[in-house]
Amino acid sequence: MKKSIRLLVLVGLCLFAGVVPYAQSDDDGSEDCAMCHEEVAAAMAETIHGITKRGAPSCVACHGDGAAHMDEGGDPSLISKPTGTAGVQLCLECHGQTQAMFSVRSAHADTSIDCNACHSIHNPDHGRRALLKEDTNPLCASCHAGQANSFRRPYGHRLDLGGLDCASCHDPHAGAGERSLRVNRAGEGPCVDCHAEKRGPFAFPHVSGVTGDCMSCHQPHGSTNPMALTRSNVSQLCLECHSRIVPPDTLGSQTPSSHNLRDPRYRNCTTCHVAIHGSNTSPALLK
Amino acid sequence: MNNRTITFVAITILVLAGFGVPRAQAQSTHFDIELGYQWVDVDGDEDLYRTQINQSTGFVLKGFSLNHINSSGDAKFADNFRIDASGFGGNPAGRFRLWAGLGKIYRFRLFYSQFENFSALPAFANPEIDNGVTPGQHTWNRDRQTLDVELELLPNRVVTPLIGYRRNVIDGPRQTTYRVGQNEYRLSSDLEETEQEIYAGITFKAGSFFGTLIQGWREYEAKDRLSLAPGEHFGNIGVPILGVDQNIDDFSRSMTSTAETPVTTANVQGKIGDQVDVALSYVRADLEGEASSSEMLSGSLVSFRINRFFQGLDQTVSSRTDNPYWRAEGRFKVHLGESVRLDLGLEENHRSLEGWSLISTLYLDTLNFGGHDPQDIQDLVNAHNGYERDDQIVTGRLNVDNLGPMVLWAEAGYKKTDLRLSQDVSQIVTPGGQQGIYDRTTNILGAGAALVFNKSRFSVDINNESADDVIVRTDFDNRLRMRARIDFTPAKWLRILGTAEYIDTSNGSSGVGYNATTDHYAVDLNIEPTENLSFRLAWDDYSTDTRMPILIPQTLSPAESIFSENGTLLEGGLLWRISVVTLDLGYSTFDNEGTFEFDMKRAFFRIGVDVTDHWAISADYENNDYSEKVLELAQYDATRYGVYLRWHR
Repeated sequence: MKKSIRLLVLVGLCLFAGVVPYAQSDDDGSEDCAMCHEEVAAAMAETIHGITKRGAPSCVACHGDGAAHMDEGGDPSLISKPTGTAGVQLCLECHGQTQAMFSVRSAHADTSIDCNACHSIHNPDHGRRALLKEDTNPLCASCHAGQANSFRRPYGHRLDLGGLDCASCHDPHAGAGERSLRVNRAGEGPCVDCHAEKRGPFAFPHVSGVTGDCMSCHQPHGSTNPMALTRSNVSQLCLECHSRIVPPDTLGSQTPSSHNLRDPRYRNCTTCHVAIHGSNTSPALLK
Repeated sequence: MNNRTITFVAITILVLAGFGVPRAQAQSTHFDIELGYQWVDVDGDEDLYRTQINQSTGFVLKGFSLNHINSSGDAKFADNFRIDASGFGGNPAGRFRLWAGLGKIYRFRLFYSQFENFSALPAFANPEIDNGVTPGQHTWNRDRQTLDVELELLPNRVVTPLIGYRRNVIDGPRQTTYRVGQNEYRLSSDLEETEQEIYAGITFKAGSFFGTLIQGWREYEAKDRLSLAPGEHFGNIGVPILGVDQNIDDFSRSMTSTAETPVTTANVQGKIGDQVDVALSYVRADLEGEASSSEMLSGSLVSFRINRFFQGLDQTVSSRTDNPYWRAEGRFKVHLGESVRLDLGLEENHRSLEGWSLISTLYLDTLNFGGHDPQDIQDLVNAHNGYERDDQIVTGRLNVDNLGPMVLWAEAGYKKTDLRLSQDVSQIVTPGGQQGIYDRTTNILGAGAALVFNKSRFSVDINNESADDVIVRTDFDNRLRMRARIDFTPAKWLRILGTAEYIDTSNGSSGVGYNATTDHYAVDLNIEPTENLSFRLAWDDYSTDTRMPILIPQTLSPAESIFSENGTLLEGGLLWRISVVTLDLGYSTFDNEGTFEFDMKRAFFRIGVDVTDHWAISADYENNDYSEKVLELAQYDATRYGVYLRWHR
């Protein structure tokens, strides 16, 4: 019933869909700009920003009134060139939804990185979406070289074969998650959006959700472990939690003494503990 | 025809259909397609190559984009329409995106992706590695496909309804293992998992406030059928136990699990006066799951749990879980002056789990170790697990912009976690460390500065986190991170990028004594002596050293777990345009030393010729040479080469 009530409320709200448009006029003298800046105007017209009739910004919307600029023969000091924080604020006047994602954790929001650092408003390459200056991966790598290189390890997500890019997991406008990780509508990190089977819930849970998160064990960029673990040997990772040297007040049971590490099967804990992310059928995560 | 080929053909037809978009005045249509054929030749361990790279011989869609804009205002169906696709065919992953919209009537987006997941490694999950048997016993060859569709009606209105649908499917065969009795057996599995979500809601605008309200319904279903792999009757441990052979004649297991989750999302943001921006969000989800499993086997087995031999096993499991979650967050940006801003964030989230499971195991035709007392024995486990976890994150950050070329910031905050865990330890062999009440508060302090001038940027930041307690042994009680970045363009022809990062993580708790340090340095040089010629040189050095005491299980004696890596990447390349010819070549080596030593070399060469303004042909060559130093079997030398045709307008 709760579901039905929610649905009815939503449908009711939708029926009240307003008719007040958020439009800017395209009749503000911007067409005069094209008299001198023909190439820029033509390029703009071929972008989503060119559709002024749907509310896209005109030249004047960003650069202000250019009358004085024109009167003085195109004096560049007499036209506004919004950059830095001012430029960001200007973009956010329309792209306010983007601002919703800016969080106090965002490095991009708080330093000198402005929209123009990644987006090309005037001279778009039509091969790229979102008016990006470069394709996503090289664009991110142009500042985050260390992170880009971390993908060179033999195991982990592959960025160069068409399936993923940095923005698949990270929100460059800063998501609510740490490390600018995307957070989905359910408040979950990006891992379970693809690896849904790891989400659970499980009657016999392991680490994720209880304490820590996927990155407690995994190194998603690139790893020396086939399962992108933070240790190349599985048993090493497991034993670091499952060793009770001085019975401390920490979570993690002692590994049974029957698990002889000289035997290769016990160096690969997940040979038997196949349901290591959690199980509904085996308390020891054996299936 | 495999999945890759089918998808490749379908996507190619779809993108070519995009050329039918009509053109008129005040319209622009740009498209770019590069399509070709590639050959892949692998020497060495092909399974290892497929696990890591997995390109294959065949047609490949290198890239496609179509961008149609109609700014005339008279479009009937779409004033903007865009398709992007790449990777389908010979690559293990591909994706397809479509955007379309018409003025204030609608916006539509569709995203589809396909991944081929293959894994068959010589040493992974391989109890037979010392006997030279490869690959390991956990292998899979699955496909994952995701679809994401969303339609907004009446965009940019006071209220905009939207509806969307998501689907995520993974299926395919795998091999896994099962430990039963005192032996382990290889099983074949055929898995199909599907997650779907439908959602509907609105975005709204009211004065200086706007937001979204979305309700979604998500469901997940997994079916897994398992049987004994061919020829695996005797398991990995083919020796008699207590004088009795261990084997399985027949095995079947069927597992089904479902989960349903309503998800409610609300957020609103806006301005309070001229000085305060506020963003509030709330998410609530309630995951409810059910699972059942039935398993039957017959053979000759022994169980030390019931101290008996047995001839068969009939097990049923029924589970139920309830996993509600909510998260609330408020963020405030307070503009204290033209260049000074205070960002405040408060986040609270709560997650709990109740899990019930009834496991009924019937051991058939059992005998005690003396060979007497034949009977069936039933074992019932009625488990009830639960936890509650609350997190509170408070962060404040002061930003000072436009101090000449300087930007400064400083932050402080804390993260508090309360965890109450009651674990039913039925069937867990070793007691302890599986339940309790844990409180952990981590204090965060950080500061940074950036110097920006012309096209250059220098920045440094430092961040220290200190915690009053640990929950698991690998939690830190102190973590220090320092980082410096440089993006320096001293001349038009030279750009220098550099990163230096140091992280020190430690946990001095009694019985832990964990310490980890990481150093990471990266330098990129981009040299463009002329407009048509550029060189790239890169050096990256990564080293980490982690040490903590552990107990060796079989002796219960303390030892030190040491994990170290020292990886060095060297890379060089050039891009040269000579009239209509473009050359792109590169070479890189990655040498990793430490706990897991390997060596990777990659050579790449591509030549493209612009035959006309709209047509180009190209050919490329790539070689990947990988070898591990400990396991000689783990190596491959893979060569890929291809020819491509590009058409763009």
